[in-house]
Amino acid sequence: MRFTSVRFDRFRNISNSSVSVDAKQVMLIGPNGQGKTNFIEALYTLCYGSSFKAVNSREMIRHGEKDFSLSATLKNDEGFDQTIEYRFFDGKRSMSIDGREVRDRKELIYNVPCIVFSHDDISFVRGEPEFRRRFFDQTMSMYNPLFFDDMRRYKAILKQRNAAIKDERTDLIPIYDGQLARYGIEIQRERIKAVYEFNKIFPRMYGQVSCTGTEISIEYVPSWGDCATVQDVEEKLARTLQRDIKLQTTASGVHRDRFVVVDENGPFTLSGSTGQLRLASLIFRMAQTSFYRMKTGKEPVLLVDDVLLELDVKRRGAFLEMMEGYSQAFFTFLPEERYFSALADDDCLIYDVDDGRLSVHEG
Amino acid sequence: MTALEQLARNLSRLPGIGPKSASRIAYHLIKTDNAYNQALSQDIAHIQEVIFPCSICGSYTETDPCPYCTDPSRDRSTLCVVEQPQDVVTISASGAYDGLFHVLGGAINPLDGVGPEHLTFDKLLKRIDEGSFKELIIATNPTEEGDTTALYIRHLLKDRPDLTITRLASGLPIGGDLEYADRLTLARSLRGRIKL
Repeated sequence: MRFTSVRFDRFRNISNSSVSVDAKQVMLIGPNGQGKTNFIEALYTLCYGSSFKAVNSREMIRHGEKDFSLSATLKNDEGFDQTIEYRFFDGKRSMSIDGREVRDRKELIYNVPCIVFSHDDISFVRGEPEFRRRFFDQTMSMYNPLFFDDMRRYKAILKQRNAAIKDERTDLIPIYDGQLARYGIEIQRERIKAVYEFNKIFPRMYGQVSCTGTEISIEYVPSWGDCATVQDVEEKLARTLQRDIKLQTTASGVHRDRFVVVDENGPFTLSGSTGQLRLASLIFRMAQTSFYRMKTGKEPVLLVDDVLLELDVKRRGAFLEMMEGYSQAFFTFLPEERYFSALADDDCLIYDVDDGRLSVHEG
Repeated sequence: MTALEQLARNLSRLPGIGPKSASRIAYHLIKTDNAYNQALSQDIAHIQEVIFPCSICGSYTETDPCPYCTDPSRDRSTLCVVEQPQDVVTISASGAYDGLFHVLGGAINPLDGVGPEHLTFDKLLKRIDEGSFKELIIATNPTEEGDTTALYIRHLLKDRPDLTITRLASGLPIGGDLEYADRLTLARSLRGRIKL
């Protein structure tokens, strides 16, 4: 899948225009605040129906306007064209693929697989456990629709169980325990499998780019680690019900699972330098790309937003060398980052971004 | 507000009707044959007087008990439990079921404040105790709430091993090619596969 053109209408600071992006690599060059990240955000929004930055679609409307829309044409792996449109109109968002309305956002996950590399990715390494859980949920949902569905159902039942705890509906709790156990055990099994396979990719990649001897990997610490069957979980939930009632929430379950980044000495967060943590966060995304390709045989679209600046020359080189196996990649660079020309191959478009306007880069 | 806006606003409160459809219908009603408008408004005005829930099964009826409950040709050993009165019509129209019905009035949903006490479980248990049912078919929706409700019924009837409790199957649509099934439907059908 490859974007061939993108059209902007009242979207952030990007001028209303249609931009050709029909190349394997598209580079956006410009100082900060000119609209490079907004461009990346627009592509992401077209892929998944929501932003990786804005909490609310309203934030993406240009200042002083009420609505906005985005659309793109893509060429899929078989060479057919596809049109995706995203509209935010009258306070409501809607999306369509080839003119047909998308009713459930899950339809989008498997349409244009895209992976964004951003500054915030450092939270995969340094942030709360929730961020790593979200990373793995996303990674697994990209190739496993059943996992995505189990996760959705688990969360819905968890909310009901918590409501039942608050309302003291003790007759319903065993029912919810059974349902939570059924989906939770599946999720735990899938996570064990996924982390095992992820660890075949991630440590090797980190070793290649970090140029140090440090070996890091992911350790999965499931909240129901002492349970192997649905029945085990049901018994555990029954045993811990009094605690849950006291806390007024379900205190154990796959929503509390932890994924820990470890090196030889234990948690990597404690021993790694900021540079190493930053690099590891990039490797999370690289490994996600590689993992997706391994699982589906398809190549994703990469959105690489301003993340290379902080790497030193040697690591940057090693990182860029490893970047392959994508169907299309968008990069943002500051003008002083001269190395973009070294990265560019024959099938490459370079744009200067100035105050929301894009023009073909000269020289 | 003009009479037209008032009508459109009222129409837009109907399920599945947005502001645009409401306005289209309102304009249509201005142009259309007045006799039709009269008949329609009469139908709407009287619907709640002539249709009410059956005192036995809860499906909508004009006579009490309803035709399903009184039809002697229906199989009195199976009982199909549904969430809403309209589900009775849907299942009946399939032509594959000739037993009796029981309408719960919804599904268990504590988040929306719906507990078992808001649904007709007491009535259901009483019917099972007094009737001669051999099988209970739970036809709640294939949602989390529908699942919870089905499991709750099984829990209520755990002391009735003589009663066969079944749930509607879910999976691939009939007559469809595998290659057109969406990935999730296919994945779930694989998980719920049955032995030949």
